[in-house]
Amino acid sequence: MHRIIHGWWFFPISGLSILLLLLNVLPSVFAVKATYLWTDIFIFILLVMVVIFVAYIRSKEHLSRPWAKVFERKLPMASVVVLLVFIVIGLMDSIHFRMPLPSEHNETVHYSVDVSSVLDVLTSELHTRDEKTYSAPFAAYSFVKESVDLPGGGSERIYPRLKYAGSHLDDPDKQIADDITFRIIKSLWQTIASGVIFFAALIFIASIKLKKSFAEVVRGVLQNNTRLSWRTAILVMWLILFIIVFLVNTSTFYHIFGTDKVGQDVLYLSLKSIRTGLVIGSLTTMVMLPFAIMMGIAAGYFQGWIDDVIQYIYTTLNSIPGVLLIAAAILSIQVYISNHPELFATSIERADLRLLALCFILGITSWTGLCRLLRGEAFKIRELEYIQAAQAFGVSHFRIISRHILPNIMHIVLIVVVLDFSGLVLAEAVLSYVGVGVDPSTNSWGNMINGARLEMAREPLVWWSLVAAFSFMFVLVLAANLFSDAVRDAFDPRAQRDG
Amino acid sequence: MTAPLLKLDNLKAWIGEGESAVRAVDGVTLSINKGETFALLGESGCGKSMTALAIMGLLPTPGGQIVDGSILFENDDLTEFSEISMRRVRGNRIAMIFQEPMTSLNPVLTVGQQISEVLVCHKGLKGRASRERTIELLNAVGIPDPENRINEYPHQLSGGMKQRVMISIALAGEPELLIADEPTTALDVTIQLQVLTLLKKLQQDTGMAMLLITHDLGVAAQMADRIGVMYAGQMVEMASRKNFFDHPGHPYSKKLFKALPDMDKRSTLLEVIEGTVPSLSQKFTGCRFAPRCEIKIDKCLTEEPEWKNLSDKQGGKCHLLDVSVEKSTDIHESVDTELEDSVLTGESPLLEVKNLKVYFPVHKGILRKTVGHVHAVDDVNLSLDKGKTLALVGESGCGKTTVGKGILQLLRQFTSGDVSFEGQSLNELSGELLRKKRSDIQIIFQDPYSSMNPRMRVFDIVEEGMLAQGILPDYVEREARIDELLMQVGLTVDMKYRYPHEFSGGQRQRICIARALAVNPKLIVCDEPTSALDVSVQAQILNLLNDLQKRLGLSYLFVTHDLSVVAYLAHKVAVMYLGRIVEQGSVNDVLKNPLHPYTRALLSAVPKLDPDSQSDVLRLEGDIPSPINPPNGCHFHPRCPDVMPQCRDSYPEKTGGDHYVRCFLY
Repeated sequence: MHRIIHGWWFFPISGLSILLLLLNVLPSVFAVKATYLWTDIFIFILLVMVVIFVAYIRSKEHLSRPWAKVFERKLPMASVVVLLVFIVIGLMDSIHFRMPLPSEHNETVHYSVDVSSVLDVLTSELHTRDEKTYSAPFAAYSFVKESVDLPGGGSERIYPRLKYAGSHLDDPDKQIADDITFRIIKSLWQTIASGVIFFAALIFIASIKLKKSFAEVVRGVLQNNTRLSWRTAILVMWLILFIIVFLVNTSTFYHIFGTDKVGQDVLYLSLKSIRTGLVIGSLTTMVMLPFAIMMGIAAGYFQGWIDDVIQYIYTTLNSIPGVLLIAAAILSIQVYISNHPELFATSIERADLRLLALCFILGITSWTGLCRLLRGEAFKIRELEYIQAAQAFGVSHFRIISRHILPNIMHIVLIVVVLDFSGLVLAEAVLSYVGVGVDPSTNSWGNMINGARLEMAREPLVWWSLVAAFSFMFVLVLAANLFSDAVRDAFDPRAQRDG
Repeated sequence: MTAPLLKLDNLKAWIGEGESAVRAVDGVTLSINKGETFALLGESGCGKSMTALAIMGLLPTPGGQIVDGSILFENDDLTEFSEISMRRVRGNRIAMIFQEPMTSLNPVLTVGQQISEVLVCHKGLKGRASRERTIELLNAVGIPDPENRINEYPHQLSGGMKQRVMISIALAGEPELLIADEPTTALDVTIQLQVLTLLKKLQQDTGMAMLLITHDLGVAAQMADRIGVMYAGQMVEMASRKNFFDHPGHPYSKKLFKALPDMDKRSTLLEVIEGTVPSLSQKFTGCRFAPRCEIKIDKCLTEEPEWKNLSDKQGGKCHLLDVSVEKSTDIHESVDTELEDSVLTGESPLLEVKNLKVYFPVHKGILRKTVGHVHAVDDVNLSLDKGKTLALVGESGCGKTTVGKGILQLLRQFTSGDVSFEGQSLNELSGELLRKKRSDIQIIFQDPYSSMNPRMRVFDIVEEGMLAQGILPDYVEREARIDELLMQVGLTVDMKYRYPHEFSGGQRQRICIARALAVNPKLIVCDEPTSALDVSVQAQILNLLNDLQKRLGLSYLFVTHDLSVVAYLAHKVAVMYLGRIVEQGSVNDVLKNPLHPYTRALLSAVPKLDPDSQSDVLRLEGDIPSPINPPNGCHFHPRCPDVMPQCRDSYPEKTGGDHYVRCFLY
């Protein structure tokens, strides 16, 4: 009996039920119409799977040991915190709904055709204050000269004041530096104050859980005596907290990353692009894994003609130029979408289908590498003696695969998934740049770079779109790469030999 | 007496820092004179190899460091040498050969290049001179046709040849001291004999000293002038060969001798040293052997013993040095007689193997056409009675493991011939019927590390076979049975929720035995179950197997290369050579009166503990030929000392009845 009550699935299952309940209740509470995009659904399925996976790992000592090794080190801990921030932003951007339109008649409520996400609501200050056209970061004047009618008649070509950015200043040229300094200092003490309260609360909870005194836990964290590298985590969280507070304090008064051609805030565009990057990075893997795992194990374990067929398939698939295949698939999907406008209520749903299609086609073309690795590993494991012992017991093939082979190749799957993630984020940027990536209306770093391409020839240079997209992508990919390095170190059997 | 060549004084080499540092070498004092062979004996994990690496200045980095003591080599303290000056010592004044010849040679360089590397480095020889010297060296280590071999790559050489090449590389610098770290452990007995003989001869020719590291008492007896026994990072006994083998002083040394299986101990349980070598990452108080010692006194637990000298030729680190340990072993003495009597009368044998053939196809080319077959097992006949042990003996590559797997029906697509179990032919079974039958025959593997899924708990591992066979479908009953099984193999019940990596090699082998027993088998194929274990642990496992056989009436097909284990455990012996059985009979007949020249060679190649009895050694030349392309006629004729013309033409038929041999001599 105790096996059921203390089962590792207890926590994730109850969490999942609460989530489903919230999904039903929340829209009516806020009087909005929930919209479920395909990618949203997949993202939340993936989230549930990750939660179950984590709960399962935490319940098994031999599985959680290598993970503890990952989080013992400073760099992976820091990169995980950064990744989590990205993931939280991406998740907030994945809860979509349509706002009700103000209606005169009481009986029917009509909903807006614009689909918003939680992130849109939180950053409404950013995307409702569009300028006319380009403006540089922290600028109060437009980037482009305009003819302005002078009060006394006649006109003059000047850089006009921006409509929103810096509008609270009387003489931006003189005040802007002081204003920004003031905001930095203000953010700094706000960060410190809120951080102290926040982390004190966190440590207090930890001290209750660990049954230690508050001072003991604080000392442990300060001297970095904790098992996992919590000091680093707290420092990085503090840094991120500062960035968030600073953004909140300044972004409503300035365009921190400037504006693009049609006056949209580039910071907002970059934030919206996070979801696209994460979707491409994670959903593609989800599409690819079943192919790679099933085919890889089948080829390695059964050998013979099954091996021949699977090898033939992936060798053939590998020799087709990937970009061509993706271009062809995306273009035909595009044709399908344009021919069936009635299937999509909003433009965002249309763009979403293309994003999903891109994930699928990327997944279908990229499973071969992992499949080949798994085939080799399964090939090796099936010769090991515990498999032969199982065969001598008359254990069925299915059980041998699921109990002996699958758990022993999972480390490879994990390493490859984490390593591939950053590659896929970069691939999206390249494909969108070429024009076969996501829909042009979808916010993505690739589209931002594509849009900034033409401006590179301008004089003076419009550099901020490119820099914003680049720095967001760089931080995400660097964090993912550092994390995957640590995962590989911890899971690679060659690096550790326990015996 | 001149000053010793090498003198270690209280050497301490630790790995890591702080309390948890591994004290791999913890106070070793020894000296080696010019031209002398010093054997360092001990179980794995006792710090033998670390001592050698410390001398060479090759301690694993980061972490490895010499924390105390000195290494005096011809009055130079090697611990004070910089890496650059050490480089002039290594390979030049001190050379080393390693255990595994397969991985000690670089596979992408020719043999000649690897030898001349040393010559260029230390002797300044270049071009023709270097080549000539290389050929000379290859000649010296007995490699035929060195002019051509010099251009060959390591994969073209056999294991014994590779070890010879390693030796020639070591000799290239004309060292004064040769460190041989288990030089023959990876080799077969006949090849081991060749290599040991070669080492001895080279030592006589060049007058170099040798530090021989081994776990094999027999090898030490054959080679050493003096012997040091290491235990848990310390030297516990040091003596001349004669003194050591006549009357070992330290309780540990005595136990090592008693744990060795042989024919005279058949009727008794082997003496075991309980437990395992302690972890070296702790601070010790008292004698390190005390927890496993049977004659310990209170003082042993609290006070570390001082070095005591019994005579000028023998000394040890024990409070009770030279107190005799005579434990009564009579408790199990009676069991055997009963067993000898229980010869089954008239019943058909449990297992009968007729004309078993296992041929593996060899594929070549893009289309993977079958171009030939590896005749792994070629026409083998065996029979095994209930409650008996049949030992299958042979060198590596002779197909003995394949016979075991063939009987288990694990290689069905390659197998022909008939395997009948309890009168029922297993070859004719398939599907569900075969699956049910599988519970009767089980297997225990050689390597206790790869034979268990590292991601399953002991409970799941033992349970797996029961689930597959549908034994005890009720969870509670099954759990009780698993507890019982674990107790039966000498483990405790609370171990069932642990993972394999938490166990030592011997304990793992016990788990494997429990796993096999879970499905109530009648026959267990033991595939070298003790060859990866230390002597003291081997004794524990052999005792367990012996005990289980008596209590449960199990039959064993014991696949091994170790003749002393055979002598201890087996009732019948079959000797295999290149896929065929060359001699078969009862253990007394085969071991005491071997007929086939190969059996005789095998028996005489085993290093004897008593070095004086090594009188008429039958040395075999060459290596086992490839089973893809076995020699014509009798497979053994190219190596046979008694070869006759007819041996080259046809394979000899069986001669004799219960003890038969396939040789033209009879």
